[in-house]
Amino acid sequence: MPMRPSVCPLPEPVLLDPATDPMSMLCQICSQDALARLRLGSTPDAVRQALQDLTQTLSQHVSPDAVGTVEIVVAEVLNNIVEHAYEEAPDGQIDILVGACGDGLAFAISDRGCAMPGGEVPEGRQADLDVETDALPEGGFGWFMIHTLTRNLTYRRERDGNCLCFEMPLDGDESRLMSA
Amino acid sequence: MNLTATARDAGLLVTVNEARIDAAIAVAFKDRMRELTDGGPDRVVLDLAQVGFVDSSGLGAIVAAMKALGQGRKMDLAGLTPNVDKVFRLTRMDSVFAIHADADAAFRVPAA
Repeated sequence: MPMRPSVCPLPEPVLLDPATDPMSMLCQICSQDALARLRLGSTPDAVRQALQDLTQTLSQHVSPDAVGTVEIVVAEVLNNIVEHAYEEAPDGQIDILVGACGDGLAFAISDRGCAMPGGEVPEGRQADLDVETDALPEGGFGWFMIHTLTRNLTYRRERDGNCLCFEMPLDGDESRLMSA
Repeated sequence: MNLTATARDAGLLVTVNEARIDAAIAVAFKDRMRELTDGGPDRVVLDLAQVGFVDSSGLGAIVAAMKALGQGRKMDLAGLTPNVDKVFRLTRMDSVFAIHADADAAFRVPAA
């Protein structure tokens, strides 16, 4: 399924001085004001609260269906950061920045945890479900969902942190993706 | 992790009284499901009508709960809300589970 090229490609991340700008790990989101800016700790409960805050904010701007899709993607990204970047340590910091970008939303989610293994996002292939019940997968769905529902997914390791940027379309692209 | 189990026909209806099955409670869900279904009827229906959100951890926990039933036992799902249905369709897990509109519909269908 070919993706429409983004009309608003994410510019190169602006690396500001972390000593003076705590949000310096974030990629610069277009030139428009952020729709949402959140900071949370690296615990499952903090993730729940952040998702609630984020969906509440975005509900003022986009459809319930789109908000639902955003929640699916952001939940997976945040869970990965808690589990892998911070290895379940509860004292990590995660920053989320959301902007309107062309026909969709642009996201930059950053943390100061471990680097992604191999310096790249996992492929997240569709699992083979044509197996006996006892051989069904219980994991590995997260990256598959992230890849399927986003475009221009970019991972960058900078100084002591990670930044994951991506876009999500808002105009019905997702329903085409779902039926692919 | 609030689950209630009710005998229904020859099966077991497990109702999830939680708004989310996510990373925060996936393990508790698996454990509680095990407690409620071990040694029970062959047919289990999981009522998700109150669940507004399931992430990949929750999905994995639901799969694990079904696998834990063991040979000859079956778990169906009922009452998938839109965002939960989205996750099952996206991952094609809707081909793995029989999915019913609600708990009543699940028990109108004779067990295969």
